[in-house]
Amino acid sequence: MPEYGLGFDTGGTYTDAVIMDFTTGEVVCSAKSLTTRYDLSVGIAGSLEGFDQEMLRHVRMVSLSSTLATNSIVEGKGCRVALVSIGREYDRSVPVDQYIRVAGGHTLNGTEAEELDEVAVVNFLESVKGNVDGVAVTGYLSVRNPDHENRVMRLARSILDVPVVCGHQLSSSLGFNERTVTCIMNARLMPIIRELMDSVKRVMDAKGIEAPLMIVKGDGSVMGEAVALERPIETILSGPAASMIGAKYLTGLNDAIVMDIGGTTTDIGILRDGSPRLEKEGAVIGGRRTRVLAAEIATSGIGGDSRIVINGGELYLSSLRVVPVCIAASEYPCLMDKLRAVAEAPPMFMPQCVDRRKITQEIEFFVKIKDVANAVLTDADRALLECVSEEPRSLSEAGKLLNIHPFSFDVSRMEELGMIQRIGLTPTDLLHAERSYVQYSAEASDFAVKHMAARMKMSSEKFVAAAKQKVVEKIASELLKKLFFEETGEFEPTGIGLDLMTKAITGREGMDYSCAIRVNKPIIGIGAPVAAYLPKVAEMFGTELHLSEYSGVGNAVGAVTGSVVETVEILIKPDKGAGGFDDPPCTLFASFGKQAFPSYSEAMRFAEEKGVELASDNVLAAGAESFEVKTEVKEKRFCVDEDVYGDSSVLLEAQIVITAVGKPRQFVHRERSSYYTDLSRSWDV
Amino acid sequence: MSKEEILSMLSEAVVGGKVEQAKVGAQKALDEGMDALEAINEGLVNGMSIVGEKYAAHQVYLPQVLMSAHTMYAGLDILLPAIPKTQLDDRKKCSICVVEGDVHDIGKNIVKTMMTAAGYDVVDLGKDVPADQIVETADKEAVDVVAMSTLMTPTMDGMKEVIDGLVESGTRSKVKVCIGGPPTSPAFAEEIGADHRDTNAQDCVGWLKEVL
Repeated sequence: MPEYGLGFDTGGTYTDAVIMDFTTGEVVCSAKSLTTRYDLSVGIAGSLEGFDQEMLRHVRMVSLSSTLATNSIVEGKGCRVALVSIGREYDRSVPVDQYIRVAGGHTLNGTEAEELDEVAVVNFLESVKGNVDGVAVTGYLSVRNPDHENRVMRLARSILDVPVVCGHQLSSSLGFNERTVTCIMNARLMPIIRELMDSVKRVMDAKGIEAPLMIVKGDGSVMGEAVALERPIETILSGPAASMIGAKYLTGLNDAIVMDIGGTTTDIGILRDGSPRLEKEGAVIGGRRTRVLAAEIATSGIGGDSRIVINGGELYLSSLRVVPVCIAASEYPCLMDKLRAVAEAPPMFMPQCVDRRKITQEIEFFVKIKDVANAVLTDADRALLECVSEEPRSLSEAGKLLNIHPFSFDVSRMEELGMIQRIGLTPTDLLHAERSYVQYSAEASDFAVKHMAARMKMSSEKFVAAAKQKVVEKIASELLKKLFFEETGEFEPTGIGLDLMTKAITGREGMDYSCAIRVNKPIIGIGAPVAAYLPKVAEMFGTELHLSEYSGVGNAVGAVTGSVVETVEILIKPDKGAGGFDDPPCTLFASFGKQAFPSYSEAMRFAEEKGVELASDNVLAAGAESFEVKTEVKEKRFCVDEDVYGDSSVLLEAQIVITAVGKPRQFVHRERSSYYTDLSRSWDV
Repeated sequence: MSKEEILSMLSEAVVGGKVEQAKVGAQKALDEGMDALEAINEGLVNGMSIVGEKYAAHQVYLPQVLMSAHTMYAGLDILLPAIPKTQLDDRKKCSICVVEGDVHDIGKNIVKTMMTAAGYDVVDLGKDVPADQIVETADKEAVDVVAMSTLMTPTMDGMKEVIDGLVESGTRSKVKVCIGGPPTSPAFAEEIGADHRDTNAQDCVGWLKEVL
């Protein structure tokens, strides 16, 4: 009997699903549907419709990668959070609903700096009863001694009936503010992730799927339900990470550049030795530095839904996300006639506009999304919003109906507020028009292209080629920027660098020189439209391109092939002034507390034993079955000048990183033995 | 007395280590209505720079430097209160200390003198200073530079401890960290995440001028 894994990726535009055969390790089939932002489970259920329903009964594991957490943070959604900050004022870089700073905290060597004011904690917790849905606890230097955080957590659990999370549970790294931000975001996300998991499980129930549910983390690994409910923050930026893992799986390459071209964005990441590089300082979300480990991936606003616009006789590609006309026409059949009318009429005069966002095209239509309370709108805009509440209309059409000149509308403002959705020509339409990728109404794309081509005084074929070239150049420049950043740490090339980059991409000759850049890693393409653009990009940079049959759903493949990874970090520091001794007395700092040892070797032995035990427990709790444990010791030593001080090396500190890696547990029918033999307690250390 | 005469009086007082002459010169500068900042920079600091250079070139001995520093401070005690507050506001602030466990502060004092001479507002935490106190000062006083020194190997780990504390408190990204003292090296500075290892006071101030 076959054993299948089911992977989902809910991206900004599409929800992808794949079914993988665990016994052969091959992708069996895939499907796509539009992401439904109001309730992701609708899109997830939709993507399942395309599958043979009998196959779904043989699914043994379900894994989901989702941008939900990232989006929620960026949009400021989530539950009401109370923050208890111990021993230090929190700078409020991320808002909280209830806040108190209490006396307490530790020093750098983990001794109590100030007694914890438990009375103040209790009073505060009593006062917020019923007004909060989660509690975040953060303490100064809690990574050196978690005692105060733990005590506040116990108090909070006894007084309030809401989830509580501590800073030291989410990160072992120094950085009070970053840990606090991580902790607050995590507390905010707890109910959101619960809702998501519940609704996915309802879909699974309806389809008769009986299997554990895993969620992808920002570093590309996966975790089980119980852990995800506790640490939802770790799912941020998981979409791009999943595509890197999927790319690696589909091609078998360990060193490559992974380009994931989605509907909304293009994500570029680099695989070196089989793993994505993690952001050392911690991921930045919504402009705030956190201490969440996530793959370092460059995201830029070019995708299948990017807006193509003509302004002053020039063709531009903007990062504004619009609904492709081919998709809109499938949803609103009335659009087809409107598009035909525009395409058949000669183009009207269109003045040039300084701000490309302010200009609208005749084939652009608008439809109302929602009202926003307190939005400051002109009467004309209010009338427009009313006019497009039922069906999409172009500005000139609405203008005629309302007897208002189309130039009087300011749609870009309503767009920023999320009140109105623009429908327009996109790269997805280009592919529909040339029939290289057809999923929606290609006829609608034809009309839109015909109109835009006439405006540029080109044939439709020429226009599609010119617009596609723009997309290729944009993708190529984003790729180079990422590679430059990896090499130099600078984000934007300027001056000579910019000139060389432009020449390399456009192939333009300078007065006395031209430029070609060779990329020394193969490129792996992930995402539906990669076949249309990436061959040219790879050719431009003289490198190979790897596309798989399942490139279009690479991130869903990544979700289902990801491993469960849990890491425990322990720090050992010799006692003050003892670093030069042979086997100095030491203090050990870890998430389970601070402990003194008479010698370094004993501390190390304890750290490895306890670390392996903890990592093993964690990886099992996170949903792994068989797993391996790896211990890495990073010693910081320095040598002083031999002439003056003789030959001596002094130990500064040692960091022990214990990583447990395993495959996700699968659902097993009781009468049958597991596909993976039961290795759960045999550690390969 | 002309302005030039007063300035050279101040310079000579510092170079020669003549405390009384510096006090008289400083008071004269104020009596004549001179700009106090000018008297410091063109007079006292000018003298201190000469001594500093001579010391770096091994032309004078350490006690002479210390005498000159002592003299400069005597003059500064009179001139500094006369500087309008607004003129002081944009001065960069440096904290300096000898880390916990060590009491050898001659080198630290020379660096402090040269920093003061270079126009920095120096917070001297003294010697044998615990890491937590250095971190707290950096945070509370909003300093731009944290400078640390030690003469002995067993106390070097205190510098790493301070940098850890700066990361925890969120101040690391806002300050420059420089370290000094015979056992330290550029490699050690890099290992613990400091920005610079100063070979001597001149080197320290030169580097600060570059990066601030």
